[in-house]
Amino acid sequence: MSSEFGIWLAAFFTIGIASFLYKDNPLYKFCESVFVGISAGYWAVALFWENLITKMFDGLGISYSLGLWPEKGALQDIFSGVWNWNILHVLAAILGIMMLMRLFPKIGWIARWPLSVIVGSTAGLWMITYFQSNFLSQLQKTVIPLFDIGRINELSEIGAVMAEQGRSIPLDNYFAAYLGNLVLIFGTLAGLVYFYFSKEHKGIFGRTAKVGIYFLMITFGASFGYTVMSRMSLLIGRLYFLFSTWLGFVN
Amino acid sequence: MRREIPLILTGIVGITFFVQFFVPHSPMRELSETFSDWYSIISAFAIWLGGLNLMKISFEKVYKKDKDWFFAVTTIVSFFLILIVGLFFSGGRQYLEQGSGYDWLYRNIYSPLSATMFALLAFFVASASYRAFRARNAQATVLLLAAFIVMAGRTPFGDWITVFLPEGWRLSNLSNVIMNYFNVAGQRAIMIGIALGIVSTSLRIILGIERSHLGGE
Amino acid sequence: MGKKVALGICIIIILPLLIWLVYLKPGPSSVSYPPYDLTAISTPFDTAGSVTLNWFCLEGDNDSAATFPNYNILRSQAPEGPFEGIGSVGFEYPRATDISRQYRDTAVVAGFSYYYKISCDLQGETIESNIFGPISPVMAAEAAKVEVPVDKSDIMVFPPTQLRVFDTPNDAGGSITLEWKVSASDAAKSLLFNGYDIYRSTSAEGPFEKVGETTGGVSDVDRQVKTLRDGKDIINGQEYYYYVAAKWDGQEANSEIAGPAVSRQQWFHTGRGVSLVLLGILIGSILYFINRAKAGKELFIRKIAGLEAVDEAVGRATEMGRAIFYVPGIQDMNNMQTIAGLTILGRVAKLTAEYETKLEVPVSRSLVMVAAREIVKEAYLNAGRPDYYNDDIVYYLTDDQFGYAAGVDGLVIRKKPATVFYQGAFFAESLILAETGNSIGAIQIAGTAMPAQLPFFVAACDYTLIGEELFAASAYLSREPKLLGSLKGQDLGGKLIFLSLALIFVIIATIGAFSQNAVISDTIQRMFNVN
Repeated sequence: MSSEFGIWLAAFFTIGIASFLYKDNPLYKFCESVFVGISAGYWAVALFWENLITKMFDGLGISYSLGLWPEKGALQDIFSGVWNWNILHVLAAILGIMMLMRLFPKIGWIARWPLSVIVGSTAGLWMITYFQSNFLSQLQKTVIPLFDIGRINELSEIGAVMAEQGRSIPLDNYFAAYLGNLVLIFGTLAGLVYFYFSKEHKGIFGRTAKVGIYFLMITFGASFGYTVMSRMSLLIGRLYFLFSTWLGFVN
Repeated sequence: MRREIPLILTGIVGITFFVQFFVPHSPMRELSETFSDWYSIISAFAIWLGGLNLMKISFEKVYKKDKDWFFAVTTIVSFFLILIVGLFFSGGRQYLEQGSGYDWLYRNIYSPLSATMFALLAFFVASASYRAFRARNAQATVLLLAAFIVMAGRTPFGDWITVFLPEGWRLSNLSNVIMNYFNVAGQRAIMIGIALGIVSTSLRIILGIERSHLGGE
Repeated sequence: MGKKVALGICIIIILPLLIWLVYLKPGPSSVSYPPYDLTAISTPFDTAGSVTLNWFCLEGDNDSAATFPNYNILRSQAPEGPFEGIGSVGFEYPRATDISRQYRDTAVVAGFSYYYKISCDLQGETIESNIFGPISPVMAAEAAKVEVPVDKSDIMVFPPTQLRVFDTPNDAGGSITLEWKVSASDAAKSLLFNGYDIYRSTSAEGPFEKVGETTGGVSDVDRQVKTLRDGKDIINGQEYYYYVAAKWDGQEANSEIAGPAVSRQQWFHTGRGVSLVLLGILIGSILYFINRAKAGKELFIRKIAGLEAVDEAVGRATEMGRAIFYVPGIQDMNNMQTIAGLTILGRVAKLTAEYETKLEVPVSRSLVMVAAREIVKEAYLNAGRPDYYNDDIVYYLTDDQFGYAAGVDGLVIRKKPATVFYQGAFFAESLILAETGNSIGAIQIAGTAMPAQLPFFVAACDYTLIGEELFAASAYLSREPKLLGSLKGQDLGGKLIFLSLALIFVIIATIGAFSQNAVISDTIQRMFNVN
C-alpha cells in the first residue's frame, strides 16, 4: 500500500467520481465541486502563462522592456525601424479589454466587437479548410473506377500462393477487388442523397435516401463497436491505479 | 455601433481569411495569422469572466445557504488554491515543470478526477449498448448488427464463434469489410454534408444574413 | 426543365476548365527520359579529355542477372545521326551504382561536339535511349585517376544534372525552389553518398556561398528529381544563381550553374484553381437561392425529425414544470459547430420565453457564455418577455472537458430537466452526458458534426441532428426565407454538383482502368488534389 499522501488523495478522488455510477451522493458532490473549481483554475492559470504572457507580453516586447524576458518583441523592432506583425497584438489586447467590459452592464455591448472578430475569422477559416478537406478531397477519393482492376488481377496470384498453403482467398480480397469501389461510390452518393433538403424523399430519390440512411447506420454501428474496446482499456487503467499503485496488490 | 460595427468586423475578417487562401501575396497570410493569434489573446482575457461567474454563483449559494452550499465552498477553495499556487508559487513560467505546486495539484487531484470521469465511459458504453439491444426498428437493428460484427471481429471471440466457416471468411474478415468500405462510405457522406453546412453557415455569417449570434440592438 | 439545362451547361463549362487547371503547371520542371535517362559530362580531372556517360539500368539488369544483353553505346556528331557503335557494356561489367551504369568514351577530341544514345536488344525488342548532347570534352589541367571501363572501387561521382532554379510558386516570396536530376551516384542505401551541398551567389561569376545541404534521395520517383526550397535570407526581386554539389566519399561533383532566379510574391495560388471554381459555384448557388427566396419564391424543405421535435420537447417541459437544459458543446467560439449550436439556442430560447419555461445553459467557455447571453437576451426580447431574462440563465462551469461533464452530470441528476439539448462540438464526454440525461428520462435532442460522437448520440438520444443537419437547423427553425434559400443553394451547388461530377468521373476512371490508361486516372486524381 502506498505511503504517499498524493496517491491516497488520487485514490480518494477516483473512488469518489466512480461512486456516481451507484447514485448521486455527497462524496460525488464533493469530488465534482472540487473538479469544477480546480479545473477552472487550472485553465485560467494555463491561459495566463501561455497566451497572455507568452503571446502578448513577450510578443509585444513588454516582458523584455521590464527585464523579465531575454528576447526582444514587436515594440523593440518597431522602434528600430523593422516592421513586426506582432505589433497588432496591441489591438488584440484592446479587444480583450473590451471583452472584460461585460462586467459593466452599461457598456457591456462593446464585447460584441471582439466576439465578431473571432466569429468572422472562424467562419472564413472553416469555410475554406472544410471545403478542401471534406469536400474536395472526398470527391477525389470517390472518383475511382467501379472495379479495382489491379486487385482483380492480383487475385489469381494470391490464389496461387494461398492454394499452396492449402487455404482459400480471404473474403477481404474478393470484396476489395469486385465490390469495394462499388460500395464506396454508391454508399457515399446515397448518403449524400439522404442529406438533400430541398427535394421530397419519394420515388427513386426517396429509396436512394433510404439506402443512404442505412449506410449511415452501419457507419454509426461500426464506429460504436470500434470504440467500445478502447473505452474498456480506460477502465482497466483506473483499476490498475487503484489495485497496484495505491493498494499494491498487483505488481 | 452596437450592431453595425460587429457585422462589418465579422465580414472583413471573414473575407480576409477567404482571400488569403487564394492569394499568397503579402500581407494576406500575415493578417490571417495575426487574427488567429488574436483568438488566443482574447480568450485569455475572457476566461476571467468565466472564473468570476463561477465564483459569483458559488458565493451566492453560500450566502443564500443553498441546500448544497458546502460544496460551493469546496469549489471556491479549490479554484483559488490552484490559482494562487499556479500564478505565484510554481516558479512563474516554469509552472508546468515536475515538482512545482501546480504540477502536484495536477497529478494528484486534477488528473485522477479527469481519468476516472473518462473511465466511466466504459460503463456508459455498456448501458448504451444494452439500450441498443432492444432495437426498436430496422435502422437500429442494422446499427446494432454492425456494432456487434465490428466489436466481435476485433477480438478472438469473433473468429471463435464462426470457426465453422473457412479461414478468411470469418467474422474478423467481415468486420474488415464493414470498417473499410461500408463505414468509410457513410463517413464520407457525413463529411461532405458537414463541409456544405459549414460553407453555407460561414457564408451567411460573413454576409450578415445569420446574425443571431450577435444578439440584438 | 430549366434547372436541368442550367446544370448541364454548368457541367459542360466546368469540365474543360477543371482539366485545364490541372495542367496549369506552377513552375518549370526537369525532363525525364525513361527508361535510360541518359546524361553525359566531360570527365573531370581527365587531362586527355573524355566523356563519361551515365544511364539507369534496364529492368532485369541487376545482381542476379545471369544473362543480360549488352548495352550498345552509339555516338554521332549531329543530333540526327548517323550514329555509330563505339563500344558496349555487358552485365558482367560492374555497375556504377545499384541502379545506374557508366561508360567512358576516351576516343574523343577536345573541342568537338558529340551526341550519344544507348540501345539494347531485350527479348527481341530494341530499346533505345534519348539522345544526349551536344557535349564537348574539356582537357583538365590537373590529373586524377580515371579508368575505363569504370570499376566499382573507382567510381567517379556523377554531378546532379538539369539543375533548374525558379521562384517558389504560390507563396508570398522569400523563397526559391531548386530542382535537379539526382546524381547517378545517389543510389538508395549507398553508404558512400553523402548528399548535396547548395551554393548560391547573386552573380553568375560568383563568389558562391554554401547556403544549405540536403540528404540524398529523390523527391519525385518518376522523374528522378530532388526538390529543395531555399528560403534563407532571400530578398524578393534580387537575382540568384545556384549550383549543387554531390558529395561521395570525399569527392565532390558540381552541377552546372543555374540562374538567374528571382523570388516574387504571387497574386493567385494556381494549385487552388479547382477549389476556386467549385467553391465559387457553391457560393454562387447559395447566393442565388437566397436572392430568389428574398423575392418571395416558395421553397420546399423536407422534414427533419429532430427539429420537428423541438416544439414538442419544449412543450413537454412546460407541462411538467421542469427546466430545459441546453448544452452548446465543449468547444469555443473558434469552432463553427459551437456557433451553429448557438444559433439554434436563439430559436429554442424564443420558444422557452413564449412558453415561460425555465431555461438553463451551462457552458464550458467564457466566450460562449458571453455570446449565449446576448443570444438568449435577444430571443426573450423578440418573444416580448424581456422581464423573464436574467444573466443567470447562462452560466460558466469550467473550460475542462471532463470537469464540465462532471458538473453537467451533477446538475442534470439533481435538477432533472424534462428536456436536454446537446448542440455543438462534443468529444468523449458526449456519451457520459447523454446516458446521464437518459437515466432521468429526459427527452434529448442532440446535434453535432463530430463523426466519432454521432453513434453515441444516436444510441442514447431521442433525436440526433447528423452533421449537415446541425448547420441547417437554424434556417429550418427560423423558417426565414433567406436562410431556407441557402439550404436549397447548398443542395444544388454542392450535392448535385458532387453527384454529377462523381458520376461523370467514375465512368471516365472506369474506362481508363479497363483500357489500362494511367494518364486518365492520374489526371482525375490530380484534378481534385488538395493543395
